[in-house]
Amino acid sequence: MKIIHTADIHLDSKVESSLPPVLAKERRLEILDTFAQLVDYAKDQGVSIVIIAGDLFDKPHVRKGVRRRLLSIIKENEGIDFLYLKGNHGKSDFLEDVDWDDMPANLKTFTEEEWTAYEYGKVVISGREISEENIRTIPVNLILDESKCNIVVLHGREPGYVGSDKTPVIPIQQFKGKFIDYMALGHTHEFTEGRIDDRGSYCYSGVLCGRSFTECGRKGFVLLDINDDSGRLSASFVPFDDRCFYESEAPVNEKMQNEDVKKAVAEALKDARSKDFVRVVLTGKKAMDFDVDISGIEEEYSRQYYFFKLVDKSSIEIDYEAYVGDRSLKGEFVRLMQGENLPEEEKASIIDLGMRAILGEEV
Amino acid sequence: MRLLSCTIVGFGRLKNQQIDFNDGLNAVQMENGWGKTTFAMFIEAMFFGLKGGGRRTLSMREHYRPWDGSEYGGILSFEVNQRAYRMERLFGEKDGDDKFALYDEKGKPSEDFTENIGREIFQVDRDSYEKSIFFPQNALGTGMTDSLNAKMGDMAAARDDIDGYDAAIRRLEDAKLALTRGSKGEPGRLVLLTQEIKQRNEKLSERPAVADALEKQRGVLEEKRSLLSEMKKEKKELLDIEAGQSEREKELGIYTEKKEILAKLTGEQQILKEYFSAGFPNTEKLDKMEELARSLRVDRSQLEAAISRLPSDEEGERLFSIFENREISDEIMSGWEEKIREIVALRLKCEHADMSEEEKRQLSELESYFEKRNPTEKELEDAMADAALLAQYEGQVEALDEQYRNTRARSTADKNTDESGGAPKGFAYAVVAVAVLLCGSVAFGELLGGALGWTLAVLCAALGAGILGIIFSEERKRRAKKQGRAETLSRELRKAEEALYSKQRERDHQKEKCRSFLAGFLVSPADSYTQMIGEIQRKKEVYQRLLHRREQTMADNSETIEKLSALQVELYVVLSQYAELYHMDLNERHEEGELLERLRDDWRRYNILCENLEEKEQLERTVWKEETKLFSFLDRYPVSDSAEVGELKEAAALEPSDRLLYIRQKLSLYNEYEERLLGLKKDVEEFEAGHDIEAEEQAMAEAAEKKAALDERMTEMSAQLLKAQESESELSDRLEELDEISESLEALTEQEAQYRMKVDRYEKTILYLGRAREHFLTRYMGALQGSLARYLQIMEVELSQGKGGTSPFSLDLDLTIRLNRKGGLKDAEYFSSGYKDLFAFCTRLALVDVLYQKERPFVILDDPFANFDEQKTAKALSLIKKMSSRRQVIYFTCNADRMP
Repeated sequence: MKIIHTADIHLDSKVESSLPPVLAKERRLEILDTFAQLVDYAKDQGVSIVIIAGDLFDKPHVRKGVRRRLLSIIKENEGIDFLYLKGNHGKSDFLEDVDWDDMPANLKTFTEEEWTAYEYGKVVISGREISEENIRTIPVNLILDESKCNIVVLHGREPGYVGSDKTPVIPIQQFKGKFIDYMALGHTHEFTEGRIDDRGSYCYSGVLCGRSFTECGRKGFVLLDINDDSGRLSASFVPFDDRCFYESEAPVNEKMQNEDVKKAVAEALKDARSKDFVRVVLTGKKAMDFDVDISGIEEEYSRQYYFFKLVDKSSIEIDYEAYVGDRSLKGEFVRLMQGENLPEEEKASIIDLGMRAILGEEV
Repeated sequence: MRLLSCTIVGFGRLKNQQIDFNDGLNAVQMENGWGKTTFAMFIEAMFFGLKGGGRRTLSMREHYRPWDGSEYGGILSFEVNQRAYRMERLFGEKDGDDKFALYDEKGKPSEDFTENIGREIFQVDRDSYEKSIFFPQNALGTGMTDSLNAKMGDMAAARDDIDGYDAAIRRLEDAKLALTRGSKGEPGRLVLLTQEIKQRNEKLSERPAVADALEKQRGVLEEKRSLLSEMKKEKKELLDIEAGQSEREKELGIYTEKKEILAKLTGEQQILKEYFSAGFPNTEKLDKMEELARSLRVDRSQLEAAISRLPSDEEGERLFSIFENREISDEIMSGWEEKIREIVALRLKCEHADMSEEEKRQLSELESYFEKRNPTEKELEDAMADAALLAQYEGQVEALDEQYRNTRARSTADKNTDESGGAPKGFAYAVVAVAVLLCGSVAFGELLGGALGWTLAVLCAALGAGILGIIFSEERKRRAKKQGRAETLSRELRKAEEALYSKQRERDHQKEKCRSFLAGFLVSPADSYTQMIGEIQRKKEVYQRLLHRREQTMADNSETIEKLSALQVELYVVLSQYAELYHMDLNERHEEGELLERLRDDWRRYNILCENLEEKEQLERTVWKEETKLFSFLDRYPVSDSAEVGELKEAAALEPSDRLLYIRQKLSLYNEYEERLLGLKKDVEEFEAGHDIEAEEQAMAEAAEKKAALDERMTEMSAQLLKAQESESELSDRLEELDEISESLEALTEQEAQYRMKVDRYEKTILYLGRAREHFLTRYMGALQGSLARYLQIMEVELSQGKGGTSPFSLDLDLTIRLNRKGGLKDAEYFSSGYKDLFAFCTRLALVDVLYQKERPFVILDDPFANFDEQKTAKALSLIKKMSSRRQVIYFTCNADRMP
């Protein structure tokens, strides 16, 4: 038996804010298309079950077109069961206008109140929506048959997570000895895996498609292959998105001119694919009187990549020493700024502006 | 440093003036015109030399040159660094003529200073001197010079920066305004963006309400779905009850159905009975009628075929006009055909015996040729003999002409020989010889002299005379011989000419004879008359032969022609009536074969026409009989019931066979109904005997009623659900729009934050640049500003602090002063001229303090307080008194009121 484990698809959600509206819209459609391709892949590969471990959407309201297409994909593939766990972004109107009489029989859900288990021969897939209320009792309430191949579906933070996210943490340690073979998790957007105990492992499949430059690199799903006789399970990550986000840094220094910056950008792009969303970030320090030709470089690479953005995060190198004995307004200005209690980036920016203004350059 | 005394030898209007200076204040009141300014210029010239002039102004040298030509210059005694000096300067026509001398206090020449003594003592150039220690009348304003700048610390680069400060601030303000400008015409980018964000936020403020409405609408939708779902369940239950009814109920249903069918079939059978009201036809009758219908269809088609074979009416009339009432038959036409064949054979015979076409054409041409003149054979032979004779004459004339030409050539040659022959040449030789001899005789006589000489001279003369005589005798003989030969040649020439002319006349006569013969014929031009006459002879022979052939042919054909004519007349008499109908001319074109062919063709057509007409009439009679019989049957069964009006119309258009089929079907249906009705009546009667039908029917009707009511409610609920879905959809769309706005807002807000950061940076840059400028000026102009502040306070100028405790005035590197008034710095130009002078006076004093700290030079004031009011003048005078305690002051005025 083959099972696909995916999560955090975030259909119809916001994408990278720096994308032009047309590309943002295209990307949203691409994510939906990728899900459809995943189902096609499942059909071609003889996959019986697609587990969606939460966050199929990330906002309450889902566009009608998306809802309808998603339902249509599920309905058209009666041979595949879709096991859908809502997750922390799960409160959506995805199934709001679906008449329960018309609800696809192959769309199966989980509840917060109790563990729901679906049996497929030797394979049992159990899942539960977690909340602050049930998080303590969830491991206790889970009773599994040792002789079965047990897959558990949950959505929550990875243990050891540090941050402001309030989603409950999955107490993986408490699932030790529960005869779990594979824990299909959702929430963490990067592919992550680890051991529960000697028998089982847990895995975050990561997002199916990147949506911003915080989700760079190839994304995909986990393919589970279970031996029908022995019940042994093997899992492998399948990179699946056709287009991904790529970000790279191009370090600059105060001696560089535009030609040098272009070389640094070219170097940063050596692993980028033309169909990707590409962003290069200039880092380091540049000379005070040097203007990076952002628009020129962007224009050049926009022709080569599906989307190209150059972000200048480099700061200006101020040579305070050069102005120590300078008997001029410029010298006085730099010395004054040097003594000001401002962040260095702000100081550099003000000095740059002031210098340009005095020299009659565009500010 | 101080001045001790001066002696003005000559400088402008001042001459031989001796002035001694005191320490401290030297106040001099002189009337206008004394030369205060000239004196001040003298002091400047002593230190700095004379200044050059401009193109349109007199140079200082010219301006102050004594008008009487006396010595130009003077002596100045001064003390510097506690050492006294005496300086002498005399000015010449130009700089190079100037003389400078410096002596120390002992009167010895000193080299402590050069002629650039002013720059060396004061460390400034002339311009700076004028702008600092020399206070001129009506021009107190001062300014920064390079020299002053250098003395103050070389701030040239800084000055450029400071000059660019205002432009820099403007640039930054403009950049800030491009973002923050609030004007409606061209609002700043930040303003526009803020407005956009505000508008979107306003729209977005609807979102909670829309989301709430959507939530509620979904609640309504859910409720209605739930109700509909219950109704569906109820209906399903009803259907289940129906499905679960007993066998009896099913039978009731079957009974009801059968009863309905019974009633329906009875009604339909009644209609069929009415249809067959004329009697039910039996099968045999219907079979016969169908057979008749088939015959009718065949006959009708044959009739149509016969009609279709008939030619058009025009063609029919034409054929009848040719053959109707005329005696004609195939046999008659065969007889005509036989005769035509005979005529054709006779014509062929005539044609074969006749001359060929070529011969006829040739004969015709020759007839035309010999039409004008037909010569006899004798005439042709004579003409040929004449032509031969002409040829002979031509040859003779040619020979005579040759002979004549030769004779004439010989005669001409003889004459020429005579004219250019030896006589003249011999004569010339003789004359030369005589001349030689005569000259020899003279030579002998003259040169040799004497007897021998003269003897030789006589011998020579005699020899000459002898030679001359011989020459004349020979010449006479030669001429006589020549004359005899010429006469002979002349006779021969005349004879040859006569013979030639005679023969030419004979030839011309003969030629004329030949020409007159040929004039009657058209002949091809040839080399000789013989050839031309020969051509006529040949044509004549052919002509004779062809004439003979024609006569012979005519004699042979006369009998055949007669027979042919007789046959033609006989046939044409009969055929002429038809030829007229076909518009043919037999006599002219002999087209009797073609006429007969057309006649035969039309005859065939005519016969077919007659046959078809006969067949058609016969078929028409048959069809009429069949139709009468068939329709008398069919008309008994019209489809007349109102329910079948449509069919009736169709039936009327149907073929009899189809109508018979229709009747047969009706009959068959009637029989079928009859059979089914029997069975149904039996079933119904049996069921009614065994059931309480009324009660069962009522129960079923109630169930049906309930179901119908439920269906109606479900329809209504579905309609409500649809409306609720539409509302939900609208709200959902609106929410989608708002979500899109929300998404776009994030980028806009980010952009706004960037703009605000830019504005903040611009503002801070402006602020820090301003501070930097203040610091700078404080650092490098501090002493000057402090001194100025002191003088302004002494002069009781109102000074108020700027915003944030900034300085009450500003003095920039151009020494432009601006005072703080009503919250802002105002340029000196905003004040009265009295105040302007006052500010300038104070600035000059401050400048002198700052510039000359080590060596305090004298100051010269050329009545500078003319624009001051009484109070300011008093303060200024008080000030210079005070100042004179520290430095030597030379003060000139023309007004006693302005004396300290």
